[in-house]
Amino acid sequence: MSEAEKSFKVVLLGEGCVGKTSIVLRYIQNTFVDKHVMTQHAGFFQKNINIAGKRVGLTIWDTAGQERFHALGPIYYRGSQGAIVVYDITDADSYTKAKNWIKELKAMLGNDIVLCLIGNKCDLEKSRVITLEESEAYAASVGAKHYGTSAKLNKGVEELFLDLTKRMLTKSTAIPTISGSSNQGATTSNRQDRIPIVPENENSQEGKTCCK
Amino acid sequence: MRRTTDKKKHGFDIAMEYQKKLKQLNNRQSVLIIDGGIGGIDSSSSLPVASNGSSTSISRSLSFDSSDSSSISSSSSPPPGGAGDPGLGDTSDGEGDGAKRVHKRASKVTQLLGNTEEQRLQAEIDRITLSPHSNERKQIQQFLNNFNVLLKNPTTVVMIVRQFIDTTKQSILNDTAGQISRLSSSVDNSVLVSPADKDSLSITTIVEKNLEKIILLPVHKKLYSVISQQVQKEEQILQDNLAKLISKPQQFFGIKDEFITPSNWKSAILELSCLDRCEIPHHKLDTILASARSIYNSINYEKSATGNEDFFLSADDFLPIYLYVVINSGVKDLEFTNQYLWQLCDPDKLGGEGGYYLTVFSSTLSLIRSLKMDNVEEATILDDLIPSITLSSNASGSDSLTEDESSDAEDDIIIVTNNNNNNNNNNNNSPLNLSGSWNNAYISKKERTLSFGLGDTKPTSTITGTSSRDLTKLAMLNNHNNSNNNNNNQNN
Repeated sequence: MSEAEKSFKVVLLGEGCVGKTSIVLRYIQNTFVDKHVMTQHAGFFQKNINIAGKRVGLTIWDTAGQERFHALGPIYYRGSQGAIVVYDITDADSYTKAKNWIKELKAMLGNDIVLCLIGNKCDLEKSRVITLEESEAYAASVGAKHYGTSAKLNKGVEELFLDLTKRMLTKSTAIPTISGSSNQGATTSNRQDRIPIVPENENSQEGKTCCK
Repeated sequence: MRRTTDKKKHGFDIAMEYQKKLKQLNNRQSVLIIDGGIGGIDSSSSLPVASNGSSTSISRSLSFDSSDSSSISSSSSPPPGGAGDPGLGDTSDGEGDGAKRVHKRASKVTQLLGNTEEQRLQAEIDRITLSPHSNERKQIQQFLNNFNVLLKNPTTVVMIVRQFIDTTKQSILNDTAGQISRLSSSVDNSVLVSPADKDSLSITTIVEKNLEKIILLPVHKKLYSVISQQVQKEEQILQDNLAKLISKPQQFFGIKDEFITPSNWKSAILELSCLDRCEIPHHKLDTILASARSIYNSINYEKSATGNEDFFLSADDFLPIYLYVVINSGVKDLEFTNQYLWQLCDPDKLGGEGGYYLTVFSSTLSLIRSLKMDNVEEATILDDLIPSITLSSNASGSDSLTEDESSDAEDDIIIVTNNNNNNNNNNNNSPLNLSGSWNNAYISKKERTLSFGLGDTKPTSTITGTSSRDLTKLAMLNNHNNSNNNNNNQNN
């Protein structure tokens, strides 16, 4: 395919049934089907976009959201530059889970990762239980950004990915790249998987603050 | 369209079986290769070639690949026994028409040049990597001769091998960029069926495949023993747990009712069971991909057969199914494969879809390893065996394992973090502990790129020169890394 100047890995987190996959599908294929039509392998998505004249390749990794698979998270999110943490605005439980993901991401990857907190299913405004103010305040307090989306009505999805990509671009240009010598198009730039080295003490500190 | 894919899939499965038979016919194999190879390319070139033949010698890659397609094509002609019969061999074209004879004559020319773009490219790259006069050949030879020295540092040897492949690959690509791109100019214009095909034709991929064959196959046994020694403990736990899980039904793993299939995911399991049979990382990764694909295929097939609408399979639904497939695949050295691929795969490939499914593969392994098997007999669902869930429910004193325990979710993280810190102490004492070793793969990639620049000018000296430095670095990073090591490897 065409070569991209930069390539980012974005991981999708959130409880099952909050619409993680619907959001990506909406973004990649611009379709929403209540009963999904399978057109490709789910789980892994690629999209190239242009931002300010730069070609950027996004690879989006879907994860399994069930509680029983929670412990597998790190295998998926290591090395990613962006995370999309999704909750369902009509489901308080999913919001708690989303906050946990964000805590964990911050503990494990520090500031290396661009965080997005997504309140999905905005079309169900009537049964909303998580107020916009609350979630936005929380997002701001952890350095994440909050977006409201509706995969069903195609609201806010495009903006979400565009904004996320811009933020990742800004971040990556601020940090000098590790491998200047071998950068050679879309595929090779994946080489610079940034290694999330969190010093031990920082790790335990985060643990303590979690405990309170 | 989808149905044809499925048919091909089944044909491929049969081909796999056939390939087993083929392996027994070593003496006749070469004849069959030429015979079948020609037909194979015509009829089934779009099939993903997931497994490599059993050949271990460095023969010309032409014969490597046609041995794959030969089995596929011969099986697509109804009586596979006929072609496989050693008595027939040379005269097997008697069953067919004149076309086959023409093919045979043509094969003399195509043997030299190859009759697809890919083969032509491969022949050219073979020329570079195998001719005794080329620089690359000399370097590879030297590398292989010095391999025993490298083996003295079992921690670094795998990394250095990968590094060497990268360096050589780059130098081949630089040297011959002009030449090869002339050969491949028509590749871009030709009508290609799918992006996957395009990928398999890219020059980098072909060079990578060739180098893996040339460099890795001769040292495969040694690498195997190095890596499997490192993962011995994990492998044992994994196999113990697997043995206990193999009798569990699909429901046990949390596969949703609508996806439970009477086929028991046989085709995916068959695909994955080929892992042992392929040797180079490229093919192993393809096998993992193929097994993932056949899950999608069989779902699509079943749903369309019953007149149902197609269903969409999100990661939520996919992981339990894949777990089931891995557990039932009967592959003996799962953990070895995991390590082998993370450490030796083409980093470019790890960034793509292959990387994603390898991650899924790793995650199932780490899940299986983390299970508490104390009450495996009475457990009816996977959740009963997952330590973090049982821990958190104990902490709150509730027995419910369902997902509506919102207050426990907070505890989960605490438990996880604590565990993590405890484990750090253990890991620091033994940097060889492979618990964090898939992280090592990432480290080594960075290392690879770091020493890459040096490697351009004098690759061999770089490799030997940096090995001790790399060792200390690796040990350092390893410690670091383990601190960052996640909860899932060792939750108990």
